[in-house]
Amino acid sequence: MAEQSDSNKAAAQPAVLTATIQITRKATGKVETYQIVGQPVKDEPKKEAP
Amino acid sequence: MAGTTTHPEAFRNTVADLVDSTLSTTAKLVFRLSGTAASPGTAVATLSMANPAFGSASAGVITAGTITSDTNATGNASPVATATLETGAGTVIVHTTVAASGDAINLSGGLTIGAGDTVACSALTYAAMP
Repeated sequence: MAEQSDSNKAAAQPAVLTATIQITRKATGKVETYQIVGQPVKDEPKKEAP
Repeated sequence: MAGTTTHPEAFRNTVADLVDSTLSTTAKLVFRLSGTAASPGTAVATLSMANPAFGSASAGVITAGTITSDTNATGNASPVATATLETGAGTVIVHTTVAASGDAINLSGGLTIGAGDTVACSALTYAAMP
């Protein structure tokens, strides 16, 4: 049986998590600032048995 | 033909507020090594969120309240690859891959957190799917 076409699937774009973090290094006391942007991901879908 | 799927703002607010309410009263922000929502990577730093963790949604976005620093991070030699928002009991509600930019990032090794480092988060937002 042929695989189903993707043309009828409606997939929303993912949500977005953004954060500003500061890391103070134990060894030096230096503070580093980072901008983090992440997109929530879902686990790989399992293929259904034929 | 590829299309664009979007949602009304009211529904996006509902989703964002549901994330907040599901995190409940003792939510955590955890930076981790590579993993999945079902099988999260090793925790590198754990920060405690406020109660409630976020304010009410606006335009599909929720903004976190004060987040308590991890003043003695577990750390790891491998770079941070993911972050989770989870309940106090450890149930993952949001799992996200992390791309970081900053003033001292090691482009070849990524963002690493050392044992005993202090990790603070001064701003955190979650934007529901558009």
